[in-house]
Amino acid sequence: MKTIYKLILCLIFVGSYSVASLADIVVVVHPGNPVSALELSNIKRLFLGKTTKFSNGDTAVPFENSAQKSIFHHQITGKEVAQLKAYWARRVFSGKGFPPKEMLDSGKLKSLIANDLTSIGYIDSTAVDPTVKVIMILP
Amino acid sequence: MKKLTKIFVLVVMVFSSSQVLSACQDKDIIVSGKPGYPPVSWGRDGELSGLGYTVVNGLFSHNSWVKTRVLPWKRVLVMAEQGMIDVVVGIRETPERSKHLAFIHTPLIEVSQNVFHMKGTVINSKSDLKTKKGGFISGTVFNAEFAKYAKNNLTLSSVDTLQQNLKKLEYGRIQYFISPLLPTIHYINENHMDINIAFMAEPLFTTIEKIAISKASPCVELIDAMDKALQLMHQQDFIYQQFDLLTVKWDVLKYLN
Repeated sequence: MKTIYKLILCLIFVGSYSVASLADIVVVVHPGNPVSALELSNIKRLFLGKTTKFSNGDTAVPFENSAQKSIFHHQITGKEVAQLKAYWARRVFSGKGFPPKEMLDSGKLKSLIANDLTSIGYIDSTAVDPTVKVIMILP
Repeated sequence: MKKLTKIFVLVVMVFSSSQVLSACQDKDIIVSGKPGYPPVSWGRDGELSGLGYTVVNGLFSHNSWVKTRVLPWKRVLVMAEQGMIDVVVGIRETPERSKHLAFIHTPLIEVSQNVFHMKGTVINSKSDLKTKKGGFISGTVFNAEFAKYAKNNLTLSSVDTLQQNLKKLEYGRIQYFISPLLPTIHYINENHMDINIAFMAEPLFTTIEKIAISKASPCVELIDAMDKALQLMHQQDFIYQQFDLLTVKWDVLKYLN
């Protein structure tokens, strides 16, 4: 009985942890960026290097966030990290583009976006403040 | 695995249809390419391996006599002219080479060629190359547009190996060199070279790597069948699946970040 109780507690803990981590990621841009929302397909194209523009035609420079990269890509592009590596190897080899720059430090990423109208990235929702604008909450 | 079997069966069908009785079937098929051009062609322990050989083995999969020869690139070209090498992989088509080699129409793979320079040297565009000394690896074929630009504007010298270009760059004898992007970065990483190098992100040009058959080889009779088989491999994404396998250990994202 004790084991079953422990197992249930464990499942509740793991379940709530994963729900929290999925719900925690938001896509952000500079507050002055005229784009106020983007569809998932637009974000996917930006982070796979298939476009370099926001939906209004302005230049977009995407940045990866190391801390949330695997969850973000699982949700947005449908690619796991290994698949993503293979995808970019093909594209770089044949001169079709470069992967977005990856930021190890979420704070620096937020600061970069806060100072650059063209940048777009994703951060933990708890880190959102008036220096950045949320344009999408990960589904 | 299913895909591989499908390709194998289709390749066998293509070949069996008409030309299976070619004299090419009765001899060893000698295949060669550049000895230091991963993942397309590279030599190790007296054998050549890479994407080019995987594909050629697939094209001749009904035949178990495909052999590779590790030779300097210039010698590969001379021996292929004479028919001593039947098939050359990872080769760019030129009118000169077409005199002695029949190129399979369908490309093997497209490759980005970029400018490498020491950090601190300002090179942001093709026009920044005009005032500087550059290098390339002997046998490199530029695309027509860049060849014209280079002839009219650039001072370029060639060497035999990538390592020589890296040394010349480090010692300031050249200010940049032109080289395939990913293979060059991989080479620097694999050899743990401590060199303060940078590259121009925008490709200078891209080249189409092909497979060619010596016109002096009986295998040249199979060129149309090989073209169909190679098209099929592309349709099935076989080429890039093999590319993925060959580069799986390359940490491309880390190289570029």
